[in-house]
Amino acid sequence: MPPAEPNGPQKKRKRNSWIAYAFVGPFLLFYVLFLIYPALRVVYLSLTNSDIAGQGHFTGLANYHELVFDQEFWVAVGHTVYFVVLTVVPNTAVGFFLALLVLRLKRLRLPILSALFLPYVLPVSVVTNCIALWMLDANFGIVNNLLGTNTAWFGDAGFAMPGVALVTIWWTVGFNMLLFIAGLQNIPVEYYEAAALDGANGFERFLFVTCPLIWPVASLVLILQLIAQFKIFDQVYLLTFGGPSNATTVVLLYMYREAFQQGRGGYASAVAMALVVIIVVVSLVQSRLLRVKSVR
Amino acid sequence: MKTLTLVFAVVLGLRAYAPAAPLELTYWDFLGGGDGIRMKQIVEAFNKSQSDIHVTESTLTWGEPFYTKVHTGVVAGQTPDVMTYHLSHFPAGIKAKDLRPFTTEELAAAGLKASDFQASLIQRSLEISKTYGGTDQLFGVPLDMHTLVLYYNKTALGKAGLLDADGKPTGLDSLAAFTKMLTEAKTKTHLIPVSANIYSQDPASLWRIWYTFFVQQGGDFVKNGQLSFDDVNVQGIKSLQIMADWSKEGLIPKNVGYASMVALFTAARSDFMINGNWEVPTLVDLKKSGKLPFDYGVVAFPKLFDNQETWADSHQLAIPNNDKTPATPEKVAAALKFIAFVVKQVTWAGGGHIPAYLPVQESDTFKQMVPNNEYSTQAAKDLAFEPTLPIFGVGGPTFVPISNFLVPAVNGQAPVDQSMKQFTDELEKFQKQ
Amino acid sequence: MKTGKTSILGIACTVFTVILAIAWLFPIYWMGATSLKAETDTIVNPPTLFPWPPNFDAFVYIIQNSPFFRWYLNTVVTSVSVTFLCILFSLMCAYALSRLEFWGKRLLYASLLVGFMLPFATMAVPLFMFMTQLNFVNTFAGLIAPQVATPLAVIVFKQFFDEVPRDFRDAALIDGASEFKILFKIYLPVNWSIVWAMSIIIFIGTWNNFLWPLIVTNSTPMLTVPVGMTQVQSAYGVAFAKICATGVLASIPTAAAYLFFQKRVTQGVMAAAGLK
Repeated sequence: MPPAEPNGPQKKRKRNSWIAYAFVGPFLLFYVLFLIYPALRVVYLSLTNSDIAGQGHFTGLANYHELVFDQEFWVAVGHTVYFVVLTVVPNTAVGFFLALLVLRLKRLRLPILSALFLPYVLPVSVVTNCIALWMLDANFGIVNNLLGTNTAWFGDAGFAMPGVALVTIWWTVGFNMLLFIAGLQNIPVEYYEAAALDGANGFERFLFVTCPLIWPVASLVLILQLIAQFKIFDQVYLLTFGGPSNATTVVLLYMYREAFQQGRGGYASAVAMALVVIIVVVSLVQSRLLRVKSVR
Repeated sequence: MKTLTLVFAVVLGLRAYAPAAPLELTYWDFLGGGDGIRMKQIVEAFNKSQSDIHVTESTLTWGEPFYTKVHTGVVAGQTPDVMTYHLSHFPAGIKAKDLRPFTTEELAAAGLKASDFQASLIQRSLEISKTYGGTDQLFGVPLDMHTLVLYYNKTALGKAGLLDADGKPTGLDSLAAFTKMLTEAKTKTHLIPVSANIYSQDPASLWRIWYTFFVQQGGDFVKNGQLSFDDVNVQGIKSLQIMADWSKEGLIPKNVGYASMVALFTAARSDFMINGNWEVPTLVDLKKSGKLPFDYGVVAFPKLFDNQETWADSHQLAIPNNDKTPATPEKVAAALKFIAFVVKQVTWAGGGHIPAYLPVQESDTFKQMVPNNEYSTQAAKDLAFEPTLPIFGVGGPTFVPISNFLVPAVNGQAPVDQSMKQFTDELEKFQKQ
Repeated sequence: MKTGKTSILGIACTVFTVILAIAWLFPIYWMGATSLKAETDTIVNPPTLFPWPPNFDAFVYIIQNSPFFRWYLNTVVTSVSVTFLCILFSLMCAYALSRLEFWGKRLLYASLLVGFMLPFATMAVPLFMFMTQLNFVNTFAGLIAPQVATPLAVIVFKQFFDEVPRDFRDAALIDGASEFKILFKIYLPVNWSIVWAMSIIIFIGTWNNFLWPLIVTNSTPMLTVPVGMTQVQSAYGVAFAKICATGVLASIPTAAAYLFFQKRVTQGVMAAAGLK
């Protein structure tokens, strides 16, 4: 979360402004051209009935009106929330657990840390096509071979979403683990020593020293996870494409289908805007609830 | 300084002898894998055979991404000069004005005429041109026809006594006989009777098999040029029920992806494989390198119901429409010269397809190609193309409801009637948009 | 930090951790092992855990049938360019946000935070249409330009610049140094490790980007590795070794970069969330 503004505006040295614009200029140029402008275009498109190439007429709030009554959209929102529930807290908890395990080690620390983090550097298509879909293949995957079964893991409506969640956690938990490692290392040793002197055993030290002091980091991880998992697209696109029977259709996948398979660019833009609003609202609510202060 | 002038002079002198730069053509296709290798060979051969035209080929992702790229390219005025296209996507593509028709004169200049090609293909293509393009010109030159065929494991079936005197599988004359034979095969060979790609992530194969059953019972999606579900609700449900029954009896597997389907057959774990003819080169190559542990055969899809029609599609070669910078006459002529070259190559048939160009189809070389000659003649008579409505065909929206409703029905996860109703409801929705 | 004495529980914990790490790596190992088998060996049951002798057919096939090295080149050019431009511009922008006063400062910072929350997929098509107007489709410019403006680096650098004692800048200003000099001669060296770390993060992120290169490229020679890889995988026939071989080839650069620079990467990732 953004730190509080340093001192109040300093009115001296107006020529500061020109130099400032020179510094900000290059980044701002790219930012406005390639992020702000397309984003505004999406807002505009959401008010039209354009096809995928942007050809259409202005239709006002018609798309949003349709969206409110679009059952498939709300089902997609439900699936996205389900996915968020499956990943946000578990991914955070596993990251914390792994950080605890790693910090216990001394000579083995770096190799173990590298091993646990390595999945994070792989491209998503490698994680899905070359690892997850291959290992879990219904007929030739090693998991089924070892279990002696023929289950199509991602073809099962009950397993599909948890499957995507599992792959996501394996792939990305390294990031959370590192955050927790930094946070745990920031807790001064004296606190533990003081607690030990007071007669607290290992478990009590964990409960009364570690947990409260790691809470700011934990809430930060939770917020980052929340934003990231609401935006999920790549894994679903590659693993299940929203199936089976729409069981894993999340909002961004629904948007993709509307845009590229139905050719409804305008409507897809409205879906996208709805998602952004949801993300902004949810993150604001969550940050209020957790009252995060940045750790310095 | 003197050396520099000398070098300069030599270079200038050489340039005088350099041939004029060839006309550059960009060519987009969606052909990967075994097909793609053959197309690359054909393009190289073309470039080598003459120096007026140079074709640069780009292979893009098969399916909806290809057609989206073509459409956005057309809108943006940045198109390739020539491309491959599916006949089944013509209704959607022509309606969206993505294609540029050929005049009879342009075709003649390249030595091509409509009567040189498979009549059923041309007829279908012209019907679509009329309905969606309002013209009686062709929007594409047909390259091939591809359809479902029945691959079978000769060794395993032979041992089980299920081959007839010609070495072909028995029970190919009716649904009852076929099902009975499959059941026998299951008990006698202990293999999966039919390897088929039934998977929610890849619904194309299921669609093709279902559609084949459907048309073999005389079903049609289009009545009087309109989308109709009359037949779907009768023959369609019956076809779906048969597939669900087969799945329940273990005659076809559940949840098998495309690569797994081929692997099951080539690893001798299934007796049959129902797949397109494009996997023929895989089997030919495996047999040649001694990696196929059995003898295989290929026959045209059998007549299980009232006729022997089988799902088919066709690769076409077409020129995209470009309103911003229309194709110049030179480019069109060059593109057609390239197209004329490609359709005459019997190499393409090595990909398992049936050539659309009659002189190639009737040539001795093709007639002697094994195993193509086991199925091509019959299969060419049975072609049943996809319904001519823009919502159907490769890259169309129908694959989503097929995956969502028909796949679970076949897998026994949802009742057949209900699934079909949900499917037709979705199609109704698409048709309206 | 808990400092435990060596105990049975402690040893058991360590053993558990090691086993967990090995199991964690197994999927990556399995991809590599599969890529070194002949296609017909990939589908035997029970599976061979350790392929010997290694079979390179799959790799040969991919290299012969696709311009994989050209794809490597494209991805390197794109990633290096994006990283260089992004880091340079982010440093300048972050410095201004941290130490300079100008109108619109708060607005800019707020827009960066919101931009961070926007999913890229939503803007893909309008961005593509814009690219066609600029004639950037299927060019390096088209690949690079949209990826330069990532808010993440600016947000991180600003946080770190805020930590640098103000005296440094005040003293330098009294000495007559320009802001430019202060940034590159003081702030940059002081924060060298985070700059280095963010560079690696941006590099890996750009390398692995899938959706944008898919949309903006039209021809095989212009593809990047993650996209080209999926095209090779749509090969017909028995293909598991080939699929895994493309995965190995696609992962080697980022994995090597990580293992080589691991200390810096871990620092960068931790800083990205506002921690030291």
